[in-house]
Amino acid sequence: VQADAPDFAGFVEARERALQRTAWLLTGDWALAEDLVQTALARTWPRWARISERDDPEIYVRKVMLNTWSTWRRRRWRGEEASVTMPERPAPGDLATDVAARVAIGQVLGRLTDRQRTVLVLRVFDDLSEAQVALVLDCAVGTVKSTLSQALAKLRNEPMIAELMELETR
Amino acid sequence: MNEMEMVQLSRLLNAVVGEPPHRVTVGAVRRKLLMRRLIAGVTATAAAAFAVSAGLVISAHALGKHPATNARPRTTEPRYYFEATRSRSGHLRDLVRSTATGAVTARLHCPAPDPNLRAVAAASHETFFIACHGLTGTRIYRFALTQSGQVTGFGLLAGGKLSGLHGDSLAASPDGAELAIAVTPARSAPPTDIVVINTRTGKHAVWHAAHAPGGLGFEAQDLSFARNGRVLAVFGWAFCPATAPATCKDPHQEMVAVNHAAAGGRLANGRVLLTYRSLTPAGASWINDAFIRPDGTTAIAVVVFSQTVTGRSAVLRVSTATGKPSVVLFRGPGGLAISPDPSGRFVLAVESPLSRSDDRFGWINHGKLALLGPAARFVWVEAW
Repeated sequence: VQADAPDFAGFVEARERALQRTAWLLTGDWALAEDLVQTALARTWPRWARISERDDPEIYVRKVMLNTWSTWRRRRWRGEEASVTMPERPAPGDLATDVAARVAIGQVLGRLTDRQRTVLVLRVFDDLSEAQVALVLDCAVGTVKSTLSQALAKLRNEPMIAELMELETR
Repeated sequence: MNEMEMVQLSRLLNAVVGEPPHRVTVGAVRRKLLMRRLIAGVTATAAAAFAVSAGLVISAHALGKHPATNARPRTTEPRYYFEATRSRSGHLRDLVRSTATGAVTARLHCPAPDPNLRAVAAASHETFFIACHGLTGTRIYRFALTQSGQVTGFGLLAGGKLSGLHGDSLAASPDGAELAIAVTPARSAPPTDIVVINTRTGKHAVWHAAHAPGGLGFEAQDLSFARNGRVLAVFGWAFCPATAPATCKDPHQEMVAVNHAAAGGRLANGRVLLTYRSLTPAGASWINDAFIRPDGTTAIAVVVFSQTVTGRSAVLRVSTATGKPSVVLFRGPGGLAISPDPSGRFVLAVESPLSRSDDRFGWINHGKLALLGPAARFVWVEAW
C-alpha cells in the first residue's frame, strides 16, 4: 500500500469529487455517496499497482463502485437515521429552486431502472463514451445505446425535465 | 433527444448535483482500509500458529457431538413472514404478511428513542426479534404472532438494550433461547464484536470478531446458529493484516464456527467451515450470504457467478464437512440475498437485478422463486 501511495493519492486527489458526484446520482445521499467512494477506493487500493497499469484505471474504479452499490442496494440499510447534527449545510443562492430541482431530478431518476440510471449517469453526466460505458457494465455497446435510448425516452415524457432544462439554458 | 438536449441535460445534472459537502481524502481511504488491518496486526504474531491452517476446511464433526435441534420440524412453509420494504412512493413499511395470500396481518414500528429498524431474526413458533437503532444505540424487541398473524407480546428483550452500539446482523437460535447480534461502536464501521444474549436471563457473552483464524482480519456479515444454539457460525470477509507476509493471499470470504456460543471469547479461536476457495469454482466473484443449518452438517450459501454488474447467482447447499457444494437449490439473475427459516428448510430470497427497479421477493420452492406479496420497490429486511 505504501509503495504506490503517491500515485494513488494523486488519483484520489484528482478524481474524488467527480466520483462523489456520480455516486450521489446513484444513491441520492451525500453521506452514502461519500461512503461508497471511500469503499470503492479502499477496495482498489491494494491492487493499485496492477490497476494503474491499465489504460484508464478510473474505469476500473467506477466498475468497483457500481458493483459495490449493487451489493449495498440489498445488503446495507438506507433508511432514515437519527442524527444529532444536520447532515446538510445551508447553501447560498436560491435555495428553494435548487431544492425543487434536486427533488425533481431525484424523482425522475428514481423512475428509471437501475441500469437505465447507471447508463444515463455514466454517459451523460460523466461523459464516458459508449464503449467505456460498455466496458464498465460488461455489456455490448449496442446494449448501452438501446438502454440510453430508453432512458432518454422516459425523460422526454417528463415535463419537469424540459422546464428545468429551459431554465438552465437561460 | 438530440445532441443539444444531451448537453442541456448534462448541464442540468451538473447544476443539480452541486458540490460534495466533504472531500474524500487519501487519509480517509487509508483509515478505512488500514483500521481493520492494524487491529488485526496486533495479534498477528500470537496467531501465527494458526496461519498454517488458514483456509483449511475442518470437519463439522469436530464441533462436538451435540444433539440436533429440538425445534419442531417444519414440513410446510411458515404461514407468515416479516418484511421491511420501501414502496415506490418512498414509504418505509414494516409488515407481517400471510404467506398464502400476501395480506397484511400486522404493522409494526420501532418505538422511540430508537426508531430505525435495522435487522430481524425469526425463531420457531413464529417468534421474531427486531433490532432498532437510534440516538441511544440499539434496542432489541421480541414479539410473537397469533394464529391469525397478529402481533402479541411485543416488548424489550431482557438484555436487549445495547447503549452506544450500532447493531446490524441478527440471528436467533431455532428455539429462541440465544440471540446473536454483530455490533460496532462507530456507525458505518465493520462489526468488532458479536454479542450473544441469553433471551431468558438477559446475560451477555461477547465474541471478539475483528480477527479470523490464521491471524487474518475479519468483517462479520451473516450470523447463524446450529446444534440447538450451541454453535454460532459467522460468515464474512477475511483479509490480510498490515503485518502479514507478502505470501498472504488476497482477501477472501469464510465461515467460522465457534462452540459454546454462550461462552464468548475470540472468533480467531474458531474453526473454518467453508471458504470462498472451497466453495466457488473458477469465475465466481463472491459469496453474498452464507448460513449454517440447524443440524450443523450443511450450510446454505449464495454465490454470485459473474464478472459483470448484472451477474448471476446460485443458492447452494454446502457440506460443512468438506466445504464443497452438494446441491444447487436455485439459480437467478443478478444480486440475490437469502434468509432461511429456523428449520433451515424454507428459504426467503430477494433478487435485485440491475435490469429492473423492483426487487423480486419470494421463497425457493423446488428450484423456483414462489413470489410473496405485492411488488415492493425494495425489500430491506425479511424473515419467517
